[in-house]
Amino acid sequence: MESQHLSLRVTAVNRLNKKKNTLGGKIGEIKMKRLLIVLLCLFLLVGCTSDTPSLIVEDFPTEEVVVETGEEILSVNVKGFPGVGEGYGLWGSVVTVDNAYPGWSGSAPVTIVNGGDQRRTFHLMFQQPGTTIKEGYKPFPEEYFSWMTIEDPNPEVAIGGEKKVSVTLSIPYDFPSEMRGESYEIRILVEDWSQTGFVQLALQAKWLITFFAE
Amino acid sequence: MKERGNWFQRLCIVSILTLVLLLASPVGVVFAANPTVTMNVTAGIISINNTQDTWALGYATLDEVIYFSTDGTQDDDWARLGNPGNLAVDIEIQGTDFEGGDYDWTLAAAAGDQIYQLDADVANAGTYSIEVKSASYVDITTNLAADATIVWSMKFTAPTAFDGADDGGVKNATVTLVASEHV
Repeated sequence: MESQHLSLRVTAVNRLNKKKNTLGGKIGEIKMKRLLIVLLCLFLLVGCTSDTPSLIVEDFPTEEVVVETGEEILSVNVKGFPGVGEGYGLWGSVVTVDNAYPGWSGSAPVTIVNGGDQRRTFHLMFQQPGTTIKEGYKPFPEEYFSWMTIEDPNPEVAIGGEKKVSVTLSIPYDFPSEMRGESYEIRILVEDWSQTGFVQLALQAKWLITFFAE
Repeated sequence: MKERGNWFQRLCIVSILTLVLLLASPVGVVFAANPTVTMNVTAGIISINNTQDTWALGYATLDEVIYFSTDGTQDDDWARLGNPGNLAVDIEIQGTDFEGGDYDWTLAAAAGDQIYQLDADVANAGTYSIEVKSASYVDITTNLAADATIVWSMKFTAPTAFDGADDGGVKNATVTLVASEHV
């Protein structure tokens, strides 16, 4: 009798455990479903925000700036040009940018050397190239001139002095897809408005920009 | 125990699948390194000089042709353009309308009513075939080497008709020679 009673208790306990296990399995399935939903939502959320700027900014690379032989103006002084009364010159007149991509920003200086016989105020502005444009390049669209900024568009330069003016290109994240892999040329006109003659002289620096093709 | 094991197994599979999908998604691009941007700045200086910058045309009459010289007659090598920098340059030219008096004169390809024409010449060609425009730059010379010089000149053609006959006012215009590094 005692063994039968024990057997009945064991059976009852086993049934109870089985029920518990079945219940646990159902709970597990519910948990699994919830986990799947949460993971799916997370995946969709992260996937949808993959183009957001903040994510790219976190992984922003340090641009590699290569200056061929240095940008110090001393080498110009060694050549002795331009001297007083000989007009003005530009150092760093061509900047080539390769692989620029949405979100990237980079600066390079253009140095104005005042060889004139008086202190002068120069005026800098962006322009499209004229008839002479580098082969394989297109004029930089005027509607995107706002991507570029001139640190000081009206710098004063002392007699025989020089001034570095930083020019910056900042490519927005909503970059037009048709510009990918394309090359563009933009000019920076440097004028001296103190000239009074019929024939006046001006200089242009160039930025030759090739965008990342992806 | 067996069902708990299955649950854990499923969790592992789902986790692995999610990880694979995440890596394969565009997010993977974000995790990957961005392209290296290279900037090169030319070492050297550009500059130009010009020996003649004044041109007093005097009293222009209808359809009159006046050259860029001391007396208005043709002198193809009166002015010299030089490159005193240490890089080769391209030089372009651009003009403006004549402004002043009662009526302005517009710069265009051919002289006309209140329209004047301006053409440039280089290297003693004597053809004055370079049409100076106000809306855009036009090549006057390309790849002018460092320390090199070229001669140049201009030809002005007065309007063929003046509105209001002759307003007698002083009119001013400018021509800009702009140099950029030859690439």
